[in-house]
Amino acid sequence: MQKDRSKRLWGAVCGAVVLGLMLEAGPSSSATFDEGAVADFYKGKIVTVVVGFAPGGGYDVTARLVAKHLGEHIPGNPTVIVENRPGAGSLVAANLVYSSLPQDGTIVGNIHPQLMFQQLMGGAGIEFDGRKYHWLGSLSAGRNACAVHKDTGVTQLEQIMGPDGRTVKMGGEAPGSGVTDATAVMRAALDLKFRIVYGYKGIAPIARALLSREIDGMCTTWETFIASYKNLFEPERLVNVLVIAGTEVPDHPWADKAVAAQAVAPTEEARRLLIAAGAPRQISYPYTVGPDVPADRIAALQQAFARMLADEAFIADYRKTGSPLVGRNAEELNAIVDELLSMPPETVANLKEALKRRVGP
Amino acid sequence: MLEAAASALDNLSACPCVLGVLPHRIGFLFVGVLMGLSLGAFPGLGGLTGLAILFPFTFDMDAYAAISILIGLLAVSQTGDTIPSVLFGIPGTVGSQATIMDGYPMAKKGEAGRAFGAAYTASMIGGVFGALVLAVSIPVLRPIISAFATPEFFMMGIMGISMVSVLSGSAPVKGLIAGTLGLMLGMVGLDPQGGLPRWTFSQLYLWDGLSLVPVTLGVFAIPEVVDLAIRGTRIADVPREAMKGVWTGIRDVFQNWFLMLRSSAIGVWIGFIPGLGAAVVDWFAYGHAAQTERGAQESFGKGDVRGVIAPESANNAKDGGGLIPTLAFGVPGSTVWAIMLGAFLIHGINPGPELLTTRLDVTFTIIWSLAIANVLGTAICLLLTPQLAKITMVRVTLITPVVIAVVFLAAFQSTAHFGDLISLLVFSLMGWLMKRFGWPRPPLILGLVLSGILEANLFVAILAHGSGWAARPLVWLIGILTLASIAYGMAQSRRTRQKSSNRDAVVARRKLAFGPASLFTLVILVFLLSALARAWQWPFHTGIFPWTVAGIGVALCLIQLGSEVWTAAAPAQREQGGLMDLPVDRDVPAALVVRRAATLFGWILGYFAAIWMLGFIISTPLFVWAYLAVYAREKQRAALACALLVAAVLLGVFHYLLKVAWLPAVIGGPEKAIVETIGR
Repeated sequence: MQKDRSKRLWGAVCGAVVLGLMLEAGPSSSATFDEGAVADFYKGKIVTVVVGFAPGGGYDVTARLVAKHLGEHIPGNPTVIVENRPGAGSLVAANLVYSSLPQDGTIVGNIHPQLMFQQLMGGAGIEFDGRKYHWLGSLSAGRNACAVHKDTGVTQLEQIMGPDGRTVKMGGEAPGSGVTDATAVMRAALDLKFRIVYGYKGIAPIARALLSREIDGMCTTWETFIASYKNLFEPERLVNVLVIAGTEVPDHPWADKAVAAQAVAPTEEARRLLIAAGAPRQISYPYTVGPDVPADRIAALQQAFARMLADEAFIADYRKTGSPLVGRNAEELNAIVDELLSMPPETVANLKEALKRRVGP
Repeated sequence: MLEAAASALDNLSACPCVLGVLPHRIGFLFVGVLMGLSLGAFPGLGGLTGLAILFPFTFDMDAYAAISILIGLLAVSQTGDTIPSVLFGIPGTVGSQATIMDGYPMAKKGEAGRAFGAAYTASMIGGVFGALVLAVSIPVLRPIISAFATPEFFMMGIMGISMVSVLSGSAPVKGLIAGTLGLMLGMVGLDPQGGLPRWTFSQLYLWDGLSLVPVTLGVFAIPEVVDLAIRGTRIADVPREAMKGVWTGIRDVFQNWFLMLRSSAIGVWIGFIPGLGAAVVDWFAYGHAAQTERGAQESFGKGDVRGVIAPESANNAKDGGGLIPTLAFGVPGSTVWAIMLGAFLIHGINPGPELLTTRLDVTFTIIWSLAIANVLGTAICLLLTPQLAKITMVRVTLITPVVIAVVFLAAFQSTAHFGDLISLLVFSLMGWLMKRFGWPRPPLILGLVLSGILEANLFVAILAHGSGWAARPLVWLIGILTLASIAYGMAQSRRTRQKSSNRDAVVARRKLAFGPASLFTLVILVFLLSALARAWQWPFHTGIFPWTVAGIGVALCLIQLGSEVWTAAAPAQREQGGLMDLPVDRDVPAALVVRRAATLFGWILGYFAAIWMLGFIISTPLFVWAYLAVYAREKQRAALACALLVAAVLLGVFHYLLKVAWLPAVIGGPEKAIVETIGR
């Protein structure tokens, strides 16, 4: 799971297009706090970004960029530093930020959004409620997508769909990782003939296995494909992207064979499964503070985050990481988390069934 | 290709001539080398830490300069890591665990200088060799990589685990048990097939598995510190005149040139295979040397310079190998290379076929940087060696608390979690007991690092290839190579044993006996059984590996226990003859050993408790001072000086530079006050 995200960052064409900067002027809260009081508090203080992953990965590098730029937008201009508290796919950090670490607004958590999905699934070890976090915003976004090697002869999704479909071997990590869950949910929602090869350690080994034709295909996000795994498409088109989550397919030459998952999903329930599995992807690199932080500081931090997202210097620095910046402010992030965590019980049950370890198809 | 190589050298020197004015990119390379050496020399830190910190600062550099500084750093962290390995028996990075096996005994014999000379020279030639192999293999890279998939990775794991047989020396059963224990410890965490927690005891800390650094520091470093304190002398127990020099070491490397080349080749190979990486490369080379070198079964582990040359040439050579998948596929072979890949991308270098065709100049810049960095790093280290070797003449009481503090800080770097420290403590005790009772420790570490590789790849191989995985030609080739090297090693050891058994015939009178050594074996048996009991309910794909390994472990333990209880032919002394592990001093009376060890472990526990209560920042200098002034009765001035030195490193390196996430202490007020005063 961790690797999945970090490799995504690593990928990328230099000078990748900024897909879009969905910004409003902060969560309509710019006037609702006393800037002087907040500035008095933050002046001379250290704000710590607690990263749930080890140094060197995508979470770490982007957090260091945030640390470089966020402070100047917070009233009182505190120094912002990064601390790494890796463990259990950032679950350790998520729990710490939620309760054990100070709730005075000097601790900002940078955790994996897949944890929200795990909360919905009733995963073990979760000691937080994603709805009670005060989200500041997120930096990136993606859509689940599945690609299959050209040598299989499969060029259209319908060839691997339904009872008469052909079986393809798809690479997966252990159940619970983003890649594996995306693959399993696509299989369940669209009735795809996926045989899942569980057990790869991260997305890079899966891509390598795809190149050496040990497996037939892989699911990750469309954005990861075009940013990190360019070599699957150029100079020779080795894989065909068959399906991309969402209601429409991006206008891109490499997506010419792809269909939009929501458009071909047979039922409303199938669409809900796709939305749930896709929700964490929508809010990559999210930042949050604990539930008991004073309201004025939350508002100040949310405003600072939104301003940072619009800051030219930050955008220029972020572009260098190669990952497209798709900023979301607090409101948008809250909406996505709320939608995910209020999925109806039968959808949750169906998701659980879909995500059980089953090689298949 | 040659043109590209030449123009790459120009790129690196940033001037149209190869030997021009002071080239600023070489300057960057030099800076990277200095950083890499210092980070490597500090236990627990390494190339990865440095890359992560340095990486954001390279955003504004030009591409060649950025690559130079990063490659410089990466290339030599495995050179600097020799320093603590040889001086204190503390692995500087996970890549130099095997170096301590003979490097540290050499330091004890007063041959620290020689060990350094050999290690640096081997590192340099290994590193350059790795770069060369990378250069000449460019045309054939892609097909080779494509031929390798999970079945072959699994077989490489098998080859690695077969090293257990040779690394166990004359205690094969104990070695195998240690190996199975290692394999089981490697299974702690979420399993790769079902994602279920195995033996995690509801601790999130254990979900990702045991961290390698605290375990290795516990198994190797603390036992050496404890034994040093028990002995109470200086590290080098010979007078200064006997210290053999650097030049001898350099000569040793050239005398053993073939071993060095073989080890370098192993290094490139392991580096090239994704997933094996730094933690096993040195053991592969060390095991290979132990298997193939004449008389190695007797002399390894007692300060044989060949035991230093093999791992040191391999661990630098692996970087050349690690570059292969990164460059050719754009798929990094390890985390370190993932960061490098990020750096390449930021600076407009897209890995993939172009790097091997139209942008060869970039590839050669990388290769040149790698080679030059290795030469620079070695030169610097050789200059420092005479000073470093003097450390072995320092009084042991002064060294003990400082080294313990460093080990604690190093272990804590792993995940900044209390679990790192607890893991360090548990494995310290275990490592020390293993050492005392004649259990070889390398198989434990080998099992730990190979466990995941074996399990994950076997499952994937079966799921992806069906039973056809076993029919692949490369699988057979690796299998045959493995069997051949086991057979060769066995033949070698039989020859050695015949010789030694003529010398001192062992009294083999059978009688019933149950001593502390057997109690230790019994504890391991109980441990294995209870682990097995916990694993009973797991689903098949989660449990099959743990069940098999634990089952084998239980059977071996019974055999071992039986042989210990029914034959009492002074087993410890018999096994010391060819045990492939650091030797134990037997001159100190047992009662004194127990008393001194208990005292020292008491101090270590006290330090741990102090960290828990007061936090790292206060406890560390306090511990150093208290140990020196109260326990060792050193002069107040010396005690304070050592405490201040440790405090300076703690604050300078860990607090300000690395921005370590300190643990919230029980009585956190004082530490918080300090942190707020000094800032960050």
